[in-house]
Order: sequence, then C-alpha cells, then structure tokens
Amino acid sequence: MNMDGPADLMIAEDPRLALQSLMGSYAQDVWNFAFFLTKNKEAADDISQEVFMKAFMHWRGFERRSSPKTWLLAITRNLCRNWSKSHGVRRVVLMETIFSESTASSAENEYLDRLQLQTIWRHVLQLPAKYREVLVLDAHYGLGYAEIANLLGIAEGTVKSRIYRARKRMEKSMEGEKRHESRP
Amino acid sequence: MSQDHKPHWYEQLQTPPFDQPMFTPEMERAVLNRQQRVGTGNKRSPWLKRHSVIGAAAAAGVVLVLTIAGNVPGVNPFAGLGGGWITGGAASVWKPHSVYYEGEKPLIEAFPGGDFRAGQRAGCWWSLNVPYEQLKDSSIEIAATHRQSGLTVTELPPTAISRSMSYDGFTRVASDFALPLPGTWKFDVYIDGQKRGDLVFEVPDSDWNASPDFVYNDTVLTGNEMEMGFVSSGFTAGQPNKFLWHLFAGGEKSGSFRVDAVKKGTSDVITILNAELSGSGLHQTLPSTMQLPEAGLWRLLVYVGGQFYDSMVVEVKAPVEEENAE
Repeated sequence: MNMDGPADLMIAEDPRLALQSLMGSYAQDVWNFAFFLTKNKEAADDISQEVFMKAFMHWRGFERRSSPKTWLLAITRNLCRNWSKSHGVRRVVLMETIFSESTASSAENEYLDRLQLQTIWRHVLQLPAKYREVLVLDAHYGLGYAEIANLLGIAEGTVKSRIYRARKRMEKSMEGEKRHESRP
Repeated sequence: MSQDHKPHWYEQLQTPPFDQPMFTPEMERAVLNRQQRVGTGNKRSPWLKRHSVIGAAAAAGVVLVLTIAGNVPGVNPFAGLGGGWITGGAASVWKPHSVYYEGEKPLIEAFPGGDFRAGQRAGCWWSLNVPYEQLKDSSIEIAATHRQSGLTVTELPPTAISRSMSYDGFTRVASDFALPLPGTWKFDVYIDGQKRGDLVFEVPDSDWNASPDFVYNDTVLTGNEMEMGFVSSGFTAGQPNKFLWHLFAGGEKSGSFRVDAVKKGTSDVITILNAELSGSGLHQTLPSTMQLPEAGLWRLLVYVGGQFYDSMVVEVKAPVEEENAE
C-alpha cells in the first residue's frame, strides 16, 4: 500500500488504532525529520514521540487539505524549533567552515561518526537550518513546492530560491570533499 | 507547470541516513501508554465521546468513505470519525487468530500453554516460518496490547535470535504469556524493530480466591507456597501497609522488583511498588510499603527484572471509620 495517499481513506475503529497506524506509517519519517532539524538523537527520540501525542490531541484540527505526512512533519518542525530555542542551539554555520577540512566542531563530527552516516547526509546536516529543511523536504520526502511552502509558512517563490541555494551549497561542499579525497 | 530538473545526487537522499528504524517499538509503546493515561478518567476516550454527539453526521461521511475504501466490514457508524488512517479492516484487527499469514503462507504461529489465563504464566512458543540462517543476525521483540483498556506490555523484550532457536526450516522463541488482564490481546511481532505480523488471543480470567497462608521457618506468609509471599497484617484501603516480601523458587533473581495491581472487574493496572532487589540468593526478602486505593479483591502481579514472576490475590479491607470504632 502506498504510504501517502489512500491511508487517510481508511477508518480506525478507535483513536488508539489510528495512532498506532499513524506511527506504523510515519514514525520513521517523523524521527528522521526531527533528527535532520536538531542533529541530536535524544532530541529526535523525544520530539518524535511528542509529535504523535500532539497528533492524537489535535487530530480534529487537522484539515485534510494536506496529507497526514505533511501535517506530522509540520508538527515536528514546530517542536524542533522550540527545542532549538530552548537549547540555545547556534543555527549559524559559517561558509568558511563548510569549505575548511574540519567542517564541523570536533564533538559534532565525532558524534556523526558514531552514527555512521553516509557522506552525502553529512553534507546535508552541515547546511544551515533554513536550507537543510527545504532540501530534505524536497529531496528526501518528495514534497511539492506548494506543500513545502504550506508546511514552512513561506511563499512558494521563497521555497524555490532556497532550494536552489541549498543545492548549490551541497554541490560546493561535495566538490570540496572530492578535492580533499584526491589529494595524495 | 514546469517541474525543475532534480540533481543526480538527489537519488542518494531518497534513502534515509540510518540503516535501521530509529523510532523503536519501545517509543511506540511509550506513546501508546501516554495516550492511555490521557484517555483515563473516562473509560472511553474523549474521541469516542465526541463521536456519539456527531454520530449522525458521521454516518453519512462513513458511507462515503466506505464506498471508497470498500473493504471495511461491519464498521459501526460511531467508529467513523475515528479520524484514523488504519491500513486494513479495523474490526478484523481484533479477530482472534493464532496464525499470521503472509499471502498464503503461514509466517508466524503462536502456541500458548494449554490452559492460559490472566495473571498466570502459561508460556508460549512463537514459531517463525523462516529458516534460522535468515534470522541469525536479527532480534525479535513482541509487544502485547489489551483491546479493552489499551494497556500495552512487553511480551518479549528485544532478544537476539540464537542458534538454540533454530529448528528444521523454522525459528522458535519462547515467552511467558502472563497477561495482567483478561480480554482480547494482540501480539505484535517485530523483527529488527520492523513489525512482521500480529496474533490475537482471547484470554480468560483466572480465579479470584484470595491466596492462602503458608508457614516458612515458623513464620506465616501469604502467597504461593515456596514461590513467593509476604509477611504482613494485610491491606487496608487508602493507607500505607507494611510488607516483608519473600521470593523463593525463582531464586538468584536480582534487579528491579515491581508489583502491579488490578482490582477485580476493572482493567486499570496500577503500579504499587517499584524497588530493587539487593541480594542474589535463592531466598530473598525485601521490606516494602504498599497501598491500594479501594477495598475488595485485587490481583498483585509481580515482575522481577521486568519479567513476570508470579501473581497472587489479596483481599483489601475497608478502613475502619473512627466513629464506628468501639
């Protein structure tokens, strides 16, 4: 069964089953998105659980104009923003650090090493937050521009230009990696 | 509308960065248990209450949705606005079945011990019709959900599949099958955190005779002879009572010691003691204070190290009212 479309045509016998079914279909998507935004496993653990609690509490407010997935990702993003604020996370990644050999703080690098992320995802995680979120929504979650605009509460034109810049940054940082590798 | 050209490296971003599911069955259970607590207070959840108010409107919507979904048999109209996105016929989810089929082929079969009842360990074999070689690096986990109350418990904690579980063409694991409540239980079987199938059993109640007294070393204990018991002057509702627990047969257990309690005729399970066993001898004792809110018959379910150990039934006395005291 397709994960996106037909699921919301089905009926749950009780809210608990609905919740279970939502988690069955979208829990990994939600967890991953929380991680992409926070870059912190513990935060993703907490936030993803909170997302489904919120979904349970607020399902009536959910107007089925967007898919359940988009809705859950929107809740995830809101919770991640709160988390980042309360944890005083520095959201700024300087251009210089992207091109330098050590692309992130050593603690963060070490942490990402432990998670054994593929290289391309490391590049994604090093993007500044506003580029990172549009890029993963576009490339990983396959949302349309209109959906992304709706989810982030920004204009579609802004989505397009951010995606354009995000791709450029990705390409630059991947090129940097290649140069680094080909060095003797 | 012109859809732009996606860069070739987008393909690599379609798969998530982690090669395992990061949202674990444990987290799912935590959410479900929190949801249950939110729902308590009313026996039925607030969702269902609202549905009955808007039932008529719901019914119309349901017909429409049913026409589209086309495969949900006998759904009652109030269920319609469950707002859920269940994949498959909801009512059939709870139909008892001891075999889970993948297509035509039985994938998982459960064999609980003959006369299984709530509050007692029946033991259960879980057969996966998958050769051991395919599962040898995997882990299995089984979660149980009680239909009537929504309670979720761990039937089998994450367990690495080992050579000893290997049989001719299939793999078999054992669990306690000691459910705290009578009723309908659904067992979700996870391999490496991914749900592979579920089985549903109707679990009958066991008897509610208060556990007897027995003598050990000139001391009178209440409980199950040479299994477990306590020395006490009994439970009086609504006030703390002192108990000296004795654990025998399980022997050499250590770790957490938890007592859950459920009153006869209800399905609210409350934890009344969370302690730590300090020794590791064959016979252990643990002083404790426990309290139960209401008079009547209660079943105490004892878990050691997170695993079901044994259960007993106690009669809780009503507190003596001051003015009635002679």
